[in-house]
This record gives sequence, C-alpha cells and structure tokens, in this order.
Amino acid sequence: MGMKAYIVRRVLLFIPTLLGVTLLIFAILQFFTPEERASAYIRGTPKNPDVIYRVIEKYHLDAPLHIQYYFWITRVLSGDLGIAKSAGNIPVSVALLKGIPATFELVIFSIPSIIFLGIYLGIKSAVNRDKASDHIIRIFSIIGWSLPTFWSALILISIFYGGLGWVSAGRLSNEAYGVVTSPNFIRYTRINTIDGILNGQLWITIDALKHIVLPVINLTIISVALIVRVMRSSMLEELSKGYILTAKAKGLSNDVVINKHAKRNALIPVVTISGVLTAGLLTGVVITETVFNYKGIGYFAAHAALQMDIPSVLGFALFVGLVYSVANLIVDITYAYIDPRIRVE
Amino acid sequence: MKSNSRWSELKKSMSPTIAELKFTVKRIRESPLSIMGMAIIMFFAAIAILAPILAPPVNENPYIMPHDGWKRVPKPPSPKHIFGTTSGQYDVFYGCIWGTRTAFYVGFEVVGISLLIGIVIGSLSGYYGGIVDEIMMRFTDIIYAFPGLILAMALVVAFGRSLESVLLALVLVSWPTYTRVIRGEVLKVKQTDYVEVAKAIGCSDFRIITRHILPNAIYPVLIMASLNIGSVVLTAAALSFLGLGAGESFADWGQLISNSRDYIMGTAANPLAYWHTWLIPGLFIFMFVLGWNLLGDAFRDILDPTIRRR
Amino acid sequence: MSQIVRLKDIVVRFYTYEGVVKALEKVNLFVKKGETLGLVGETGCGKTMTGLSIFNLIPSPGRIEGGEVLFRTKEGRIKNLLSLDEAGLQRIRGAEISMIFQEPSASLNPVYTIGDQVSEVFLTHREKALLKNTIKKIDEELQESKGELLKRFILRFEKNIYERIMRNKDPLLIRILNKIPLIRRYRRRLEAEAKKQAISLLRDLGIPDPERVADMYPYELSGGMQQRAVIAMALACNPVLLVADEPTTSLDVTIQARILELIRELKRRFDTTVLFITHDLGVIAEMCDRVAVMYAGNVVEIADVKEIFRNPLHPYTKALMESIPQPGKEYKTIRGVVPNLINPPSGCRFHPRCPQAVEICAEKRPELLEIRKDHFVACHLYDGEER
Ligand SMILES: Nc1ncnc2c1ncn2[C@@H]1O[C@H](COP(=O)(O)OP(=O)(O)O)[C@@H](O)[C@H]1O
Ligand code: SF4
Ligand SMILES: [Mg+2]
Repeated sequence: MGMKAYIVRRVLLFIPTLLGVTLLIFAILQFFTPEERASAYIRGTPKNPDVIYRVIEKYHLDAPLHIQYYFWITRVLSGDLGIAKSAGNIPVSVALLKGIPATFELVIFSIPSIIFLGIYLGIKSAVNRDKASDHIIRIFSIIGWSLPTFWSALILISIFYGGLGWVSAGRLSNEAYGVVTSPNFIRYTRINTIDGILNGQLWITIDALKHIVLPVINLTIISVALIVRVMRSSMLEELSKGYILTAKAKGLSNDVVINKHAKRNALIPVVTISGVLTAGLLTGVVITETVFNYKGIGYFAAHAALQMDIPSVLGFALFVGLVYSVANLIVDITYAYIDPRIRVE
Repeated sequence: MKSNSRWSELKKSMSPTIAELKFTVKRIRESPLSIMGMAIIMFFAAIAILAPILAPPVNENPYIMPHDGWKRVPKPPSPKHIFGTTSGQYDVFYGCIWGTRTAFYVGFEVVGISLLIGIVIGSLSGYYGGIVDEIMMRFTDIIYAFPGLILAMALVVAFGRSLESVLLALVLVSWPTYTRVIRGEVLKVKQTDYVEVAKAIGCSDFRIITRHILPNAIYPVLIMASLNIGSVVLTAAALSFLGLGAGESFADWGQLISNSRDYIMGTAANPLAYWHTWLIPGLFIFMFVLGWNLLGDAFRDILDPTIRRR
Repeated sequence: MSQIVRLKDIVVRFYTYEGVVKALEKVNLFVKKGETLGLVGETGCGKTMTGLSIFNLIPSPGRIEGGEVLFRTKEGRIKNLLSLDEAGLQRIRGAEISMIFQEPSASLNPVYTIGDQVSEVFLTHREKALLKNTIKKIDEELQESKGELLKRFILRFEKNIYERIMRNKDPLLIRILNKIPLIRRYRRRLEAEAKKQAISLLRDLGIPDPERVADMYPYELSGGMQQRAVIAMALACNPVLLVADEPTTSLDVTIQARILELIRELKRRFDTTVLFITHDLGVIAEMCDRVAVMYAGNVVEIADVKEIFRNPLHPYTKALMESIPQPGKEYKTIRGVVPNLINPPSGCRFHPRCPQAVEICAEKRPELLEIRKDHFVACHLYDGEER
C-alpha cells in the first residue's frame, strides 16, 4: 500500500520535470531569430526569402511566447523536431530513431560491465581498506575518472586497431556491413548482435561484438570509478554497523558477512547513483561514438554540433533530457523496492 | 560589551569548525594520494607562471598561437617544434604551455562564478524559504534533468562558438550544485541556537547571513568547489573536442586536438602517423584533471563523516 | 563449580588518529558455570569491549594486544579463543557463546526478514540435524508417492544431493552449486526446515503470531519484539555462555522488566551461564549472582552480589554505591571526570578522583587480588602496599 502511494507520488512529480525539460529547450530556442528557427524546418537552403516567412507564419514563430510554446510542444509531441541538415536533410526525429538502436546496444553492453566491475572492485577496496589492493583500485579508478573520454578512446584505437590490427573502427566490418544492408538480411531490431542471431548468421553477431568491445571498454574505464567510489564508501559504512557484529557473533563466515549481509545494504546507494551513471553514459556515448566512428545518436549529435546544426543538437538534448528523467524515475522506484524502509514513509 | 559577547558566541560556534579544519589539514598531509595530487597541481601552476619564459609569445595576445605556415597536414616533432604542429601549423608545445593558463583560467572562472551565484541564491533561498526557495529549487531541478555536457553543448550552439560561450555554458550547468549545497548548509545552521540569539537581539537579516550563517556554511562548499576544477576542465576539453571551443588559434588543450580532428586517426597505412597531435595535449588534460581528482578523492574520504575515524 | 570462561590479562588498544586508546588494560575475570555475572561500570569503561574480546571480535581500529580467553567448550575441552583460527572461532560463536547487544534495531539487518535472520543460525550451526530431518521428510514423501514416477525421480535426486552434503560438509560441487542462482534452490527444503525451527523458537520466546513475525522486516517490529528476535538468534543453538550487553538500556521501562524476566526464565530453562553487562546497579541487584566492577579499562572489584552491596571495598565501588539515588539518603556524585583513555592516569587509574588515594597510587598499578574468600579487589589499600 505504502509502495503504491510512493510510486504514484513519484510519477506525479515526473510531470513538472517533463514540463521543465521542454521549457528549458524552448528557452534556448529563443536565442535564435524567428528566421533562424524557421530555417530549421526547411530542407537545404531556401532560395526565396518568402519560404522563410511562410514557415514563420505557419508555425507561429513570432507569436507571443506562450502561444509559440503551445505550437512548438504540439509539433514536438507529433515528432516534428525540424530538419537535420548535418545528416543529409532528414528529419531530426528520423535521424534519432535511426541512431537509437546502435546507442542502445552500446549502453546495454556497458552497463553490466560497469556495474559488476564497480561493485566487485568497490567491495574489494573496502574490505582491504588501506591495504595495497585498496590503494591500487582507488588509483586506477581515479585515473579512469580523470581520462578525457576522447583521449582514452584514441589510445585504445591506436593500440588495438592500429597497433594490433584487430578490426577497424565502425559498427561492422565492410563485409558484414554489405550483408546487413543487403535486401535478404532483415533488420528486425537494427541491433546488429541480435539481428545476426535472428537471421541465423552468427558471424554477423561475432563481427558486431568485436567492434563493440573497445567502445564498451572505453565507457567502462571512464565511468567505473563512480560505482567503485560509492560502493567502497557505503560498504565501509555498512561494515561498521551493529548488525555486522551480530552476524559475526552468530558464527557466520567472513564471506557470508560481506557478501550476504553487508553487500545487500551497501548496494542501496549504488542504485541511487545509477541515475548519475546514466548521465555519464549519455555523455560518454557522444564522444566515444564519434571517435570509434560508431553511428548512434551520440555520433549524430557530435557531427551536428560541429556543423552548428541547431535543430539536431537541441532535438538531441531534448531526447537525452527525457531519457535521463525517465531513468531517474526508474531509479527512484527501484530504490523503494530494494529498501523496505522507504515504503513506510 | 554586547558585541563582545556576540563575538565570543561566534568564536565558540566556530571553534569546532577550526578544530575540524586543523584535523583535516593534518590528514591531508598524511595521505599519499593528496600529496601526489598537490604535486601535480604545483607542477602545472609552475608551467602557467613560467609560460612567457617557456614559450615566449609572438603575438600581442599571448593566447593566440603563432603558426608556421598554413598547411593542413600536421608535422611531427622536430627540433623547431619539439611537440610537432597541428593541422594549420600551430605549434603544439606553445599551445600546451599557454593552454595551462587557459585551463586554470577556465577552471577558476567557472567555479568562482558558479560558486558566487550558488552562495547568493543558496543562502537567500535557504534563509527565507517560501516561494523564492520553491522557484529556485525547481530551477535547479530542471538543470539537473540534463547531463551537464549535453546541456552545455546545446547552450554553446545557442550562444555561438567562443570561449565566453563555453564559460557561460559551464557556469549555467554548474551553479545549481553549489546552490543546493549552500542551501542545505544554511538550513542546518539556521536551526542553531546562536542564530536564534542573533535574531532575538535584533541583528539585520543581511548581518545574520553574512556574519553568522555563511562562515559556518561555506566551508564544505569551498572545498567541494575547488575540487571541481578538474571536472570543469574535462568538460571544457570535451566541448573543444566537439568543435565547440574557443576557436582554431586559441591556446587550449582541447582545441589543439580539435584542430587536427581530420588527422588524429592517422593514415590508412599508419594509424599512428599523427600521434603527437592528440597524445601530447591529451596527456596535459589528463594529468591536470588527475591532479585535482587525486586531491578531491583524498578530501572526500577525509571529510566523509561515516568513515572519518580509523 | 567450574569456570566456563576465564579472561586473563586482556589488553585492548584502539589506534586512532587522535592517539592510541588504551581501552582495556589487563582485564581479569572468570564466569562460573550456571551463574549470572554482572559487569558494571560507567559508559566508556570498557564493558562492551570486554564482552567482545571473548568473541575475539574487537572492531577495527581496535586490537587485542595481549592476554588469553580460556573457554570450556561443550565437549569439556579448554580452548584459548584468542589463539584459535577463524574457522574454529566461527564454530564456537553463535553455537557455544552468543551475544545480545544494546540496540536491537541496530543488531538486525534491515533488509532481511526476522525469519531469515533466525534461521541463518540453524543453517550455520545445525546443518547436520536439518539435513537429517529433510532426508527423513523426503523418505516419507517417497512412501506416499507410490506410482508417480516423475515426482519420485525428483525426490530421489534431491535425496541424493542432501546425502552427499551430509557425507562431506564442503564438497566442491556444492560450493559451485551454491553460486548458481537457480540451482541454489535445492537449498529451499533445508531453508524451509530451518524456518520451521525458527518459528517454533520465536513462539517459545513469547512472540505472538510467530509465523507472521518471521516474514516481517525489523523496522516493522517494536523495540521489545526486536530484542526478542535478537535473543532468539542468540539462544538458537543453546549456547553455554550468553553475553548480554545492556539488553534493556534502549527499551521502554515497561518492556525492560519483561525482557529481564524473559532472560531469567530462559537461563533457567536452557541452563545457560550469563555475563550480564549493565551500568544500572538496580538491574544488577535483580539479575546477578556475582558482580564485577569496571573502571577505565580495569576490573577493580569482584564479589558476590550481596557482599558488594553490603561491604564494598574498592573506593570506586563505594562511590558508585553512594551515587545510587535512594529515598531518605543523600545522593552523591563521584567527583572529578571520567579519564581520557589516550593518556590515562598513571598507576591506579582512579587515583585523581579517589578520596583515599595515597602516594603509591600514582606510581604503581594495583593488582586484582583475592582479599577475602571470593572477594577480589584491585586497590593498594588492601594489598599491603600503602605504606
Ligand atoms: N571505534 C572506537 N574507536 C576508538 N575508541 C573506541 C572505539 N570503540 C571503543 N573505544 C574505546 O573503548 C572504550 C571502551 O568502550 P566500550 O567497551 O564500548 O565501553 P562501555 O561498553 O563500557 O560503554 C571507550 O572509552 C572508547 O574510548
Ligand atoms: S589504589 Fe589508591 S587510588 Fe586506586 S582506588 Fe585504591 S586507594 Fe584509590
Ligand atoms: Mg557498551
């Protein structure tokens, strides 16, 4: 019962957040003249200025702000975010949709590796506090935390693609790409690792995996420190609590005390931090995809930024804001499930 | 007489803070990580100070890098350009040295201004509460709804490409953090007896905030802020890498890499052909950020009340 | 009357940034079989650390730096718990000695149900008996399920696994099976069996509706109920020695009496020896047979409870007796402050506060000596050193 009320309250809080996210993007749009904003809805460069004025009128781009917002949000809700000039004049929403499966694939492979590695190292570090392994883990995670994403990506590429000639950058090798884009390969999900299996062509999956390993490693290196740090400090806190002493006095082995009793409690702060992890990943994806020539939404956004493609960058920011808000909502609800205490509040 | 007693009141309330500070400083000195961090930062400070000697400026504005020709193809290190040149023949060594000043400048300016905003808004919001507080907090919520770099990216696109835009965008994404922390601290301090006393004897709000609340509330925020310099510089470098930096000729580490963006992947035959264009400036960024983060991690451990005492 | 446990010259130090805390300085103590020994003293004098040293469980940054804890096991062998290896200690903790802590809400893990936490003790220390029961049950089910081939097959398979565990306590196979989430469900019969025992134990301790309570999380229970659950965990394996560290201090007054009554009753029923830690002399008078008085990391006096109230010898004990609020009598507090244990007073740690202190008190540490039969005192007034 408490649980339901909590979820309802949290979902209701989500509405003002959504409003805020759209309002902020709308506010940023106001930095541009109506003419500039109008050109976001026109393919290519218009030869006739009349075209622009017609768009301004049609889309109410010079109306009072609240009216403008109304028409803008209606268009956004119907999926019209303007034209992405940096992506060959296709609509921004289409460009985003095309990129999402690739980015999703990357993130889905990264999250478990970040979380499991982070939790494992965090526990190890806390249990061996102030011993050599603690110092080593901490130094390495701080190093990862301090690495510029593009720099670590370039180093990885140079070593594994350049030096060892493993594969080349991109999502697939040329050969696999040819097969994937051929008409008799059905792209059910546009996630290559899965489509490979669905089409019964396992080598496509393996090829895709080979290409995704390094980007995943890069994202892991730069984000794992966050989890390590939180896990370490929450583990230290839990290990000093009374119930740990009780558990030891019961005669439980250290393994059970750490991995059953302390870990479960120490994981709670890790759940709350996974919102921040999502933010880190969404950011890391932009640069990692760019360097690895991995064509997801991050790649799209980076190229749009380079060409000052306004509707694409803002459309991407809006999308990310929404994804991030939903992620935070999920985190909060998960948190309530894991920690029985929060439900009573 | 009255002010005397108030002074002793303040001193009494500050004394745990001072004892705490001494203890913290002692622990900082004992932690090898923080000493390492400190040494790295000192090293960069030395480079920044000695920049005019290490790389004598050629242009009137020393932050504008000199360039040796216009060729697009970067040149590898040579006696003349010990770190090589970028695309457009900007000297990498010069850019790295003066880029150190840029890094400190960006870090201090962004953190300083956002901190100032945070202190003003946070203390007003926390002290008065009510509708102002509510609105401010919703504001911070909205900014928190975006990952920092991505919002900054959108803002720089809106403001136009320049160093000022980058600074402004970074300030806009970072002030909410300080505002929230200050607000929280103010709320805590507001409850204490001596603020009640100050109110009872008729101190003005301004005086209470500046004399009684802020000195107590500001300490954790100052530390947190100074340690954020590393992450600010990291975000700025990412923006530069995305082509949203200060501009081609500006001495900035991220910009150096961005200048050679068409070459960093090397050639088909030799992927490492232009390694110097990204490895060297990247190393500067990495070491600078590492210095701050080492210090920051040591601080965080020391200040964490749950694990303070060994 | 034999001694169950004997602490010899226990030294405990904490290494903190502020300095070395000399928490216990040569603590000597023994507990006789069947008795309740009270351990009394002001907060911070080292009562909890004395209790924990029996378990060799001093929390870091503390360390036991000297002494012996001689413990007579159920089998009658005497072991020094401070030189035992970790596995040996684990076999004794919770099975032969157990502990109840001051704060029941802190002693229970917030994310596991009461039932889980009580059954855990059975699963740890009574696995053999649980296995036997489980196998017996499977046999019964096999008898009943004549003809149902599939079911019989599964049951046979399960029986096989349990018998394997039975034969070899820690086979590699089982260790691996334990790591795999789905297969780990093989333990569910064992867990169900343990839970059944946990519920019957909870019922024994006077917890109403134990089936429901077993499925509750600690935060759903009142302090008194939580403490009963903690007591259940402590008594699950019928230990020879129970260390109760201020078990009622954090509870409501009305519930305190009931918990004390419960401990007394359980002591009778299970024939347990109790080391009862408290700072409340009233509780001592009510619960204990003998009393040990602690001051600043030392045991300063041990005697029968009647003797100690009638005829306290140590100046600190005397001061303590006078500080009990009593109708019609003057209430005195002990002068001076509790010493800091980083730089404790030299010689007798009580000397700066002692009204009877003599010269040697600041120089020489008094030993705990048997001044009269069964009456031990650590004070120069009685050891012939005062001149
Ligand atoms: N975690 C710790 N760090 C430092 N000193 C401690 C710690 N725990 C206990 N001590 C020291 O040990 C002494 C005895 O503590 P304790 O046995 O808990 O006292 P009691 O149970 O009698 O109240 C305390 O005075 C304190 O100085
Ligand atoms: S030894 Fe001396 S100081 Fe200590 S209690 Fe006895 S008389 Fe007092
Ligand atoms: Mg205690």
